[in-house]
Amino acid sequence: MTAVARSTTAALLLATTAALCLGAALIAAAGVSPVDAYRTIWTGSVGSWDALAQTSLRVAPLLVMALGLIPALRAGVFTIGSEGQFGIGALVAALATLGVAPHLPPWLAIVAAAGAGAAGGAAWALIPALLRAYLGVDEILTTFAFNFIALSVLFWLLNGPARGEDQFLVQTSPIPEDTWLPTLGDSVANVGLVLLPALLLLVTVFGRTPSGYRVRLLGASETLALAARARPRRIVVMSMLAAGAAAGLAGWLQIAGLDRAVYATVFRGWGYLALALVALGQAKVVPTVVGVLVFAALQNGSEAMQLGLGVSPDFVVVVQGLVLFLMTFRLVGTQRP
Amino acid sequence: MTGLVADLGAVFSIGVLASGVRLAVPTALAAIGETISQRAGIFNLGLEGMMMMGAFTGFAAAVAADSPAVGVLAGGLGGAAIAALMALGAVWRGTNVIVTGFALILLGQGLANFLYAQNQARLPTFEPLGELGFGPVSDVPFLGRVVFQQNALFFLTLAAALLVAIVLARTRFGLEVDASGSDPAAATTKGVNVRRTRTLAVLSAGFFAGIGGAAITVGSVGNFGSNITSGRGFVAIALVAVARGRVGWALVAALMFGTLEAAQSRLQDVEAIPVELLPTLPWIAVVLALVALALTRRTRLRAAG
Repeated sequence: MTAVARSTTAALLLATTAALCLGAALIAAAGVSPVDAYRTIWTGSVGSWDALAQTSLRVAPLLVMALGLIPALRAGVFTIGSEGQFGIGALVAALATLGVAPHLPPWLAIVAAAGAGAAGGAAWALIPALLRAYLGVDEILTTFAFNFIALSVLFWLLNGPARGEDQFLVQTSPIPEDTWLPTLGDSVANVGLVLLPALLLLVTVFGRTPSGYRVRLLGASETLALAARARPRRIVVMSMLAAGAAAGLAGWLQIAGLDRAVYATVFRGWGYLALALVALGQAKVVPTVVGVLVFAALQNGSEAMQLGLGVSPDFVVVVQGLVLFLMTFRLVGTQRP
Repeated sequence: MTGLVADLGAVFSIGVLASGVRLAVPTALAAIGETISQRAGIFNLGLEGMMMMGAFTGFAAAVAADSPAVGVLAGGLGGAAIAALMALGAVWRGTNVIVTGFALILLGQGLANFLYAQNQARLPTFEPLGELGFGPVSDVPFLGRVVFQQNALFFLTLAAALLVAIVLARTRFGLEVDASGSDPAAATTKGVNVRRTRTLAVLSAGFFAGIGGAAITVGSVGNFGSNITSGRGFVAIALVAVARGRVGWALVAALMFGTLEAAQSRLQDVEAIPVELLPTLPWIAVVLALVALALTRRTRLRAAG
């Protein structure tokens, strides 16, 4: 681990501690003992094998999305489109599953759905990527706009052609049980987890190749990158497509591993969360992983806290906002914009 | 085709225009604020969080003081409180505006929703702001319904737009805002206090966004609900991008979008139009505006040799 990665990880843990202390005041003011609240969050997120397995279901999509954003952020491309790509990927994956499941053996249908989700996410990233690479159109606003376009397109499709037959809610038909990701033993955790070390390895190895080096050079200075024979347009397009594919794959994980169908609530702001964690982790692997683990655990613990103590799960949103806000002060001057 | 035109004529009736104007008020207020902030060079992504905070503080204060006016003012202050954090980070310490903005969306939404959830029992609903009485003027055909049967916040919005447009165009502060936005380094050498200017701009953005949030809870609903601003802060950002930082156009865009929103339920009967896709219009306009801007920039560069 580099010095930057180490100090960033330390800062993240420090910011989390500080945010939890501030949160304790808030929760005490609401008349609940902070000790009880945090104990419930702990046991509900990492306190038992069951809780850990539950948390892993949240870690997987968030981490896949975050790892996919690393090359783009290293190249200085600030794409905030993961949110929309996640939803589109989930929908494409669900429809692909429903389409091919009757004709293929289950394992092949699962693989095809994963590929379809990734392709859907990448396709949703294509226009902003080309606009940035060839016309110099700022990717922040275009990818942001595409998130909202995705949201409406998804509602439109879920209300019409993509709506499952005989569904009371606005949703697709549920995917067949044999296309669910097989669980590990008798826990709720599933084999989707094997993707995580594979992607971690891929991102780490890529960072050490000449191409990975050129990506980072482009982020530092276009002149230097050109001197190293980098092709900036190619890097911009490929890194944005990679982020899109990863977000689409995360959408598939959400469907095949947890939701079983696409609902109108598929947009949860995790695309933005993934981006914030990678940006605050300075596009380094270790701090990004630690950030994802902390945030997924908080998220899962918040539900236990609501069930056990009647504390609104919005409390954890406050803590997450505080952690991110405190962390931004470390980034000063290291990144665009 | 004539059938469609006739259908659309029926959809955009006076009643729809009148409720469109009502729906436009919160978005327009937030867009006025965002305009100031963006012209000063700070892309204020946290607008939605500021609106949410204003929606809650406005509602709570209106209940506590039993006064809508106090509620509206408290809404502005609630929005400005979140904006103060934006100023502290993005202006004073130079933090990344996107990540800071996102953090403040979470913080504003989370705090507002949490505080409401924990105090719900003490916060009864109330009668929202009523229409202002203009006597016989309210019965003038068309204008009477659309303009003169609105509550005080609509007129406050018009006044705010006029005031902000004049301040930006005609005062020293307005010039300093534009200078800080277009070239902060040059502005500093000319004696502009960029940090102070941007702080004021961001605080004003939060204040107007907060009033926009209160316009929902105090002005039209008389209650609070989880995520009650439902993305209006984001729409406001889109409208400002399309209006390219001009207050008047942002107001017009907000009115157009509000009217579309009001027409949505009736447009459902016009089969040629998928109503679910109407919210994409401001975002498609944003992308097209950015592409047009990039193309003209290229042509200009080429013409310059």
